Amino acid sequence: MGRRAFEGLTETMFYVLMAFLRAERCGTEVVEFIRHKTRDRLTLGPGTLYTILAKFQEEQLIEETAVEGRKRTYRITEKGRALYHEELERLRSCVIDGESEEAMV
Amino acid sequence: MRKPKYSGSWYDSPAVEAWLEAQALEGWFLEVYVLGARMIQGEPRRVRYRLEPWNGPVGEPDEQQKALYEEMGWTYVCDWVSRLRVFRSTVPHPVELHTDPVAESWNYRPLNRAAALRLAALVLMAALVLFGLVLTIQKLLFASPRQQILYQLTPFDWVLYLLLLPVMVELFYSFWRDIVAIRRLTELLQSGLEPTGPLLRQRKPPRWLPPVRTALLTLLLVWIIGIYAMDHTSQRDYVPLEKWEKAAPVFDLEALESERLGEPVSLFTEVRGGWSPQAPQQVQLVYYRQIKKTQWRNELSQEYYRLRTPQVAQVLYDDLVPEDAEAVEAKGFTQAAVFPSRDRVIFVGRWENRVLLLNYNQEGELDLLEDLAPAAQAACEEVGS
Repeated sequence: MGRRAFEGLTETMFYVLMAFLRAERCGTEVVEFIRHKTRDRLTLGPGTLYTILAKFQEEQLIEETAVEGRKRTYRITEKGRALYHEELERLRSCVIDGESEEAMV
Repeated sequence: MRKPKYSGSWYDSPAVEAWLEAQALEGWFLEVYVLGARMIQGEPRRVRYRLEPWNGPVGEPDEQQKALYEEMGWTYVCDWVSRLRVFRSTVPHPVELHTDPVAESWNYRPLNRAAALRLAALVLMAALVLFGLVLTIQKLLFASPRQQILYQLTPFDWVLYLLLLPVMVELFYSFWRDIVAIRRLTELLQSGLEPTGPLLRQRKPPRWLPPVRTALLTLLLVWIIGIYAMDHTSQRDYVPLEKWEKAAPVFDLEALESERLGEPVSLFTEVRGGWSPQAPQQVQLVYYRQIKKTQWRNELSQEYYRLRTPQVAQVLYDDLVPEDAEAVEAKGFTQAAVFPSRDRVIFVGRWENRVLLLNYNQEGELDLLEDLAPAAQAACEEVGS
């Protein structure tokens, strides 16, 4: 049985939410942010970005703030911020568990 | 230019993408044309194709999506099938269209639902066709001779059933493969994996199958158009039931009954209609009288049949009239008879390709019925013409 949406964010979804933490951004700015932040480790396909933005909007994790021609800008909602922090906590626990286990080796 | 001749499941995205890429290497490129997707010949080159499910209106993606995709090297080509769009990239190393399998799997959920609904609709249709066939066969085997005359299947009907059967089996198999392909892909993506090859075993249809399938579908289409045209020419004078309802009662049975019983009688009429291969018009007018609050009695019923040919009218007449019935001369009828039936009396008359039957709830009123018949016939002719 595969993971369902938001039972746990995938790495890509986590970075998309992260992109909106400090600023409102459009689709291409999100791609640039992720590329820069992960030093080209993570690339975001246009289909994936478009799907995630649509789903996040549907789930009210982000909301549209402006439409200028073909460019749409979004910002994170309180619900999106809460989900981001929840995921961050989960990842922190993972890292702590991993490091403590490694220290015992 | 030619039609895309892809023989696998149209929803097996990895197989379709590989096929389109192989076609491009041979110099055939998928393009949208006036009558849908077509393969256009050009210089052979490497092109990447990706199929993407889309849960929205058919046609080009919206401006934002188009801009985003084009910026990253992907161009919309056309809709491959319902809810599945084709994108292509000609740049050497484009960013993959989808880089997160879990997010990609979200797009397949509506596709899965739509495929299941399509299969359910087909099963329902097949059940209705089979039910119709069983019902007709049951009528032919067990019905009265009169029903057998009216409901006998024409050779065209048998052709339809014989054509529908293989087409439905083929469609069922192909719809089922679509569902399996979509499910397998969704499960893979939800597990965080991208497919590495075709999802279904590629079946090579025998060489004779495509032309036979095309011939069957063409015949079916011709049959449907033919029946439609035939029905709209031979039934040009088909009279809708509303017209009969407005015309009813065709004669003043209320006055007749009131006079006979010596008190005012109120009746109401009901009109029923039908159609069969042999009788383009079957109308039954029933006159009811209220006996108690919830009890109604059929005072008189009038059945009018307009048949395909005078020969069929003759067969129906012979079936309706018992051998010992009294033949009468009735104005306007080629042949007529009146006879008692239990506590009722019946008149049957035939003229041209038409048959009229009156069934009256008054024992012994044979003459009265004979007198009523020309008026009923005139009314039927007037309403039915």
